[in-house]
Amino acid sequence: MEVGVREILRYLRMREEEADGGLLTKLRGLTEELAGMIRPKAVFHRCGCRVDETEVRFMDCRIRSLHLARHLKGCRELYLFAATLGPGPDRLAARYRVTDRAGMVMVQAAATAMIERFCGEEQAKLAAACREEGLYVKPRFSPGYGDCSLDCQKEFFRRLDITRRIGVSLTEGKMMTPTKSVTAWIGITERDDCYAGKCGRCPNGDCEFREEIE
Amino acid sequence: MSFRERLGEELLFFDGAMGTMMQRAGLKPGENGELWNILYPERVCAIHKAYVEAGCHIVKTNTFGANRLKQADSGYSVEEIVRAAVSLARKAAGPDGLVALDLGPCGKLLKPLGDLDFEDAVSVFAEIVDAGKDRADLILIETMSDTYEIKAAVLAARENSDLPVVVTVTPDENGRLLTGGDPASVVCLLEGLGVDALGLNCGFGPEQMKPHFEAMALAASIPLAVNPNAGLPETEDGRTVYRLTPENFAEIMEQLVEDGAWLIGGCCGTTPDHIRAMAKRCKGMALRPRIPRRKTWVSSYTKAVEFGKKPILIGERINPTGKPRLKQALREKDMEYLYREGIDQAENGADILDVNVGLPGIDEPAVMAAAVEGLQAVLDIPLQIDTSDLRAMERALRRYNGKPLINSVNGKEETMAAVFPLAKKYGGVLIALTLDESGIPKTAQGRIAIAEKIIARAKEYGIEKENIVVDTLAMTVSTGAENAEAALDALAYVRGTLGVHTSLGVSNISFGLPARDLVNGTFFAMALTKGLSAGIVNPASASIMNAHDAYCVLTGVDAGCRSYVEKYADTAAGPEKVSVKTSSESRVQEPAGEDALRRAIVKGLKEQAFTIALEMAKEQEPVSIIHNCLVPALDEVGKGFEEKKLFLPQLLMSADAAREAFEALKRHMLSEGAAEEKKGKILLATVKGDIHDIGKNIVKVLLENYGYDVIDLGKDVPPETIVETVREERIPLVGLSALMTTTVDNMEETIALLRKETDCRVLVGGAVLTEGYAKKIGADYYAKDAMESVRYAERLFAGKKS
Repeated sequence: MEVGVREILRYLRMREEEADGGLLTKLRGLTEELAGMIRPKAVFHRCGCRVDETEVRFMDCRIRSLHLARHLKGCRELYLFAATLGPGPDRLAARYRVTDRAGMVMVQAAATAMIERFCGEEQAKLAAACREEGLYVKPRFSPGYGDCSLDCQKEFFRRLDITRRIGVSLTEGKMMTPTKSVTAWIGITERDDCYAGKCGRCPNGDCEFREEIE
Repeated sequence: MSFRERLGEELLFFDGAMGTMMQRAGLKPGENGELWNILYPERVCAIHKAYVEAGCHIVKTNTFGANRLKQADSGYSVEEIVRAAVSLARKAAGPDGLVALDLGPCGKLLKPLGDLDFEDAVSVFAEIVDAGKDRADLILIETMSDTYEIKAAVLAARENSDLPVVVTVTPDENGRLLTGGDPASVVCLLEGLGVDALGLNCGFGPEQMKPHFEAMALAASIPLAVNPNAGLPETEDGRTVYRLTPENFAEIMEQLVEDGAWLIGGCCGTTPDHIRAMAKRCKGMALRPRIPRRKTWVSSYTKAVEFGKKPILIGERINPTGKPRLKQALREKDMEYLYREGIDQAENGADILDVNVGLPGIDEPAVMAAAVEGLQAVLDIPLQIDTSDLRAMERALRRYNGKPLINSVNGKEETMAAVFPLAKKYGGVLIALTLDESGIPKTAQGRIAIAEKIIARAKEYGIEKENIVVDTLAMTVSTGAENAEAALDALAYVRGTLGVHTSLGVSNISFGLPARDLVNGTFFAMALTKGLSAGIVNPASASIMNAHDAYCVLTGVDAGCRSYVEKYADTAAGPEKVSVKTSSESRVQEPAGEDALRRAIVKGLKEQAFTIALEMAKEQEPVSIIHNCLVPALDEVGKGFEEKKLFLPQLLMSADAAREAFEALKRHMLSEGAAEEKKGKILLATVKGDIHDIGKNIVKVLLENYGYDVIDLGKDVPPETIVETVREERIPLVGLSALMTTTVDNMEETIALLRKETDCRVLVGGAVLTEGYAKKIGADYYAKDAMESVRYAERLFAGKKS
């Protein structure tokens, strides 16, 4: 998987011109090492949904969240989506935690860029499939985001059989291991006017990673 | 006839999928299928019966997910569910059928990748075994994708029943388990643990499984099982379907029997029709004999290392004998130092790492277990558990994720009686020292006699000679020139005539001599030509590595001299100049000086910072180097970070360089017998429920650089543990980290408990925190980044001093 240096640097809160040659060389080396350790896997399930002002229903689940409801407004179907890079990034970061802390944060940043890129690629496939039916997909929305509780992870995992299918499991605190994993709803819509950049609808205006919307 | 009596006498048929059949009978996606044992027993029994009528010999109980982690909210106990399930399978199997108590993955990743402790995993499986063992004929541990979880399940089966155990794993398309294990490492572990059969299930159809099965068959000596899906999954109307027809399934299963399978059946998508077709086609087929491979091999979670292919290098550096810095680290519970020693050795070419933490006054079992767990979290090479403390040995063997080397047993009756049962249970390869109650024989004959005795006694415990590596004991030649000869002659006999692999603690040969490396390298080369299989050596030693690399070229082990050329092609000056990574002695000289050290730290040059600091310490007091160079350099970088001229990676590169400089000063002080001065103790932890520790780790390295004694409790730490440690260690400042909104609640709880029970200050940080929120939950200070944590600590401790 190809991820650009610029993208990784964004997760290090740096711009490319702020990084010197040594840092860039180190970053490229680590990214290459990481690329040899990832095993990207994704699963999804398409189902009908009902969205009103305060909650979203799909299958036999009911999620109360204003932010999710607003995000999925107008959708009659959605994808449950999950993806992971496998345990490789966690293992590599654990090793660098001991020998090279700068390497540790670079591996973390590169892995974040990679899982985002992978989710983007998988989502593009779903979008292409939807286009054939004259439909569009909305940006991903993950449990734990905005007012959406992490508690719905459990349901998410059960419906998608995530642990068995891609080897991701939940901790007591409803966090995913391996840590470079994503769960998300992807709304399916009949209109093409909903996409306003990746960060457009996010309620967190102060986020350091916020991408500027053109 | 029992399962063990039938295994190998006839081809045995497992049943097919339970889940697929339950879905056909109305099970909804996401519904708890194990509850059907209680709610709809007649339906489960009917499925079992359909399989028995189709010709299967072994019925798998409907208990794949019947563990307490998955059944917590079901309203029923594991015992109730398992008992009901076994009773249904028993009823359907009839008097001639066999019942396999089915254990699926527990659904959680084990530490360090996940949050489930190894012993908790053992107990999760033990509960199922205990509930089901009375009426089952065997235990089937299936669909496993993590060697550590497999080991937990097998131990649970063994410790709670006498039933035969079959283990099948599910690799990915590359043939590896989710956590990285290749077929050889899986076979090595499972054969070591003494399971009755092993193999593959789920993941693929029989066609796609063939190459993975062949890889496994090539590595294994014991019977093989294979339970594939009915082809690859396809999605139809949002449902997963499998399309391989019973006839096609049967046809490929026949080929798998030809390839060596002794137990066959089906997994997802297979039905009684598949099993019927398979049984009809394969019934009466001759079993392909299994070949005993007689490999001497050990494994880590991801790979196996086999003796006899190339000389094996066992890194000797994790052993406190004669190493004051390691002793200090062990006393201070600075495990990271030990992990770095391990990583350095692996990077220098060690195939296996010896782990010895024996030191008077420490809790060796606890430290050994921590060392093993920590090392296997950061390294992928096998470990050699080196201890004479039997409790430490057992704890380490238990927690080890793979098949370890065990150092050691010897010819003393008492030692053999204590060590052999442990090696048998946990499945290690034993280093056998040729000494006994009368000491170390002077002659080769005496040592050979002890080796023969150990091999014979081991066999009485069911330990074959391939699980023994004989160490004929290198004794220093400074006390007798015949010492080398005795070790080498015994070695040649053990390897050549007894056909048993050998090892030596190579550097013992030069004890008491100057320029020891020279003697070590030559002795190592001599031993290799006599049949040494493995040397316990320092992989940072150029003479050892030169001897090893040249030997591999000269014996053709290094095919086409490829490794040799790759390593030495660019070394015009000859191999002695090849740099090896080392955390100690042999670093290149650098110009010393305050400016140079400051520059090295600011630029983040680790090696330079180390060597310059080491040089400077000869002339200056370490304290003045810290005050005049290290702290100003760190401040400069910290200021740049705060002004956003420098960024996190650069800050940490400098921190890493400063850490190296500190390491050099520490060594110097240790050699001078001087004590290190610490500013004060700070406890760091990521709060309960949170597994993100990167922020905390960043804060830790900076605080350490500023001279604080940081006690790092890690991630997912319960409030009680934090309070207890604060009290015990009398800690004035606690730093807490939380990444998610959900875990900020646990942060609040931790602070409340700290306020109630202690009078320490609390510093908080983490992605979702804000100053206002930090106040609300009762923290003393909110640090928006790692530098702010340092600044706060500096202010706090300066105030405490004055």
